[in-house]
Amino acid sequence: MSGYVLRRLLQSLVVLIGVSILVFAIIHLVPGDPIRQALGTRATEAAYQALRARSGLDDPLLVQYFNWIGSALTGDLGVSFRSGRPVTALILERIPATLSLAVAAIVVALLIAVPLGTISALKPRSPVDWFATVSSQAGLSIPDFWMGIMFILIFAGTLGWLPSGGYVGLTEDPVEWARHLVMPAVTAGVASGSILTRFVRSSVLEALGQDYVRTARAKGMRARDVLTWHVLRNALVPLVTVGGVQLAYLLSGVVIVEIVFAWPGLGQMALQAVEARDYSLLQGAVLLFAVIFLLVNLVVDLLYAKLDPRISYQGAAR
Amino acid sequence: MSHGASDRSSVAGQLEQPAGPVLAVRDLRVAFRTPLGLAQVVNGISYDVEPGKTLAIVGESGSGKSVGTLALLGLLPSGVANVDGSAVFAGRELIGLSEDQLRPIRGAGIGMVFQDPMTSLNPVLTVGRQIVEAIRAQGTASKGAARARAGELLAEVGIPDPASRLDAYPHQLSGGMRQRVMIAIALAGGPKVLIADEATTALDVTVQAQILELIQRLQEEHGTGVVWITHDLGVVAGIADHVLVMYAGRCVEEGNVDELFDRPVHPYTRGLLGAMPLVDDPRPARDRDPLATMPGLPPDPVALPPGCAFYPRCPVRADTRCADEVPPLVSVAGSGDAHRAATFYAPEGA
Repeated sequence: MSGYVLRRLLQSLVVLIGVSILVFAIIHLVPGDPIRQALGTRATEAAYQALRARSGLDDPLLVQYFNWIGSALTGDLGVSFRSGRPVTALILERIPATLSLAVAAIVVALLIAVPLGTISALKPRSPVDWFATVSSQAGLSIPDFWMGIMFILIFAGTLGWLPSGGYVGLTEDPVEWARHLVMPAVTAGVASGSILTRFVRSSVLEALGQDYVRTARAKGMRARDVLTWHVLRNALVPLVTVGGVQLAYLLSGVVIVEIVFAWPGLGQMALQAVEARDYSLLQGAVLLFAVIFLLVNLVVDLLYAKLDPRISYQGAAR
Repeated sequence: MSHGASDRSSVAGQLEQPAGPVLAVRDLRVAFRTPLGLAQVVNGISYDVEPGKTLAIVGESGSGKSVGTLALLGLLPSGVANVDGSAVFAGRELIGLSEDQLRPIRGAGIGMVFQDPMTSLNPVLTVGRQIVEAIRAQGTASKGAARARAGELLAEVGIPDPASRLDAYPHQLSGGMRQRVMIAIALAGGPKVLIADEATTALDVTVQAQILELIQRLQEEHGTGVVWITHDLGVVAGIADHVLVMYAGRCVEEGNVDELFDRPVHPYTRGLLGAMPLVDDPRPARDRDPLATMPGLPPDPVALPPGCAFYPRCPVRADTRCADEVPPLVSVAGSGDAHRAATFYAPEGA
């Protein structure tokens, strides 16, 4: 088991180095001059050259890369061209909002997907199954910006129950934090939940047809116990993979939902960095997204080995 | 004897029965609703299972032999299967019972061992847990007692070092060990009848022999009635008391095992026996007669022929009625009632 963890960690590291090179290269291929953006149109040539030299953009690309990656390893992702503040600090400020939204959205998604997918798999071609199929199709098809705006119109505008946007820290005021979180979480959760519903349905259906489910019934087990321990327990294995991808996607910022609800998350920050050609901030953000994806995938793989003993066994045998 | 029935709830007590068959199946019919029409998979099967005896049900794939037994316990998909007929187990009619009424009979009354122990055991749960589930499914045993009993069961089915095997996952065991675990699960409820559905088909021949021996030993110890479903006539000859040959969902021939092997009457049975190599043939391999084969395939259960289902493949077809009339199952002349066959054709001096 520990060999498996070690090997997966090393794999992640290799991928991370590749990603960092890619991020660095792509951002330098994007047209536009960050120094001109930062200084505006009325800066003198001397000031322009001075900032350019100071920010290291005159150095060869290879030197720039190693400078960047070297400091990144010590937690220093450079200074934002636009605001002049450290990138690491800017990112850290956004983490609580992003984490709140991602966790709440995945909870909403699972609360939709697990019951709906399971019931529709247990009663295929029933009205419930039909409802699940249609609603997950709808959940996938309705654009999230439109759904978000509709929520704002109804619950913030007409009914006035919830605030229309913004974020309040959990530690400042838990009630307000929750009130601000509801609409963005539901908006982001519905799309993920629609995708997950289909996965739950197909993996439960697949588990139901397995021979070991017939064995469990032949033992005289209660239908409820068969469902929990032989159907859902086994359907969990593929669900964890897809759920992990959804969580990683939510953690790296749901840009449109964040914009609609004025949510100060990482997605919004990355979009602003693109608009301002804030290279160092954008590099930091994209690198962070890559790390999030790698970490979530690593956790998923480890969970997978925990959920399905055959996997760690194969790893140990190698 | 540390048999599970002793600590079981009243279920097993109610099932106590005097002499006579423990399971009596009469005119069992199973049809599946398919998009192509009604597939008549089992078309009127009758048999008795006596305590301590072994009934072998023989037939090729698709002859309805597995479906017929799954139907008894309501283990077929409920939405698509129509089950008719009668199956009286320990004085109680099984056909038509609800899921809740059948549940106490599953495991505790009738245990099942399935063909492929790799897919029939849940890969993500330890074997100990899967046996404990079977023990606790209806009993009131505590977790600790059930685990201890699971260890005993593993020892009983001949698994060495049973205490540590409880924590193994199915993939960590060999095929033969897995099938022993399946048997331990089937025995956990202390069943009166054990249905073994192609239980040795997926195993090596040597392991197969061990499993057969194990089942016979357990049968003797517990007086269990065994239904052995197989297509392997060698296995049948070794263990069965009574044999029932199925073709296209019907019984084409049945009888005492010696009688049936010595004097097969139905052309299908004769074909099956002819397709089996003789182990004790004294001639060297190159001089032996080639194994007989039966051309053709079993009929489509959605469109069964009006007469004898074997008619299209039958090498003799002696009677003109064969194509239009289903031959009834009647006693073979000179056998008393120990041997019956469903054919209009009866070989001279068979």
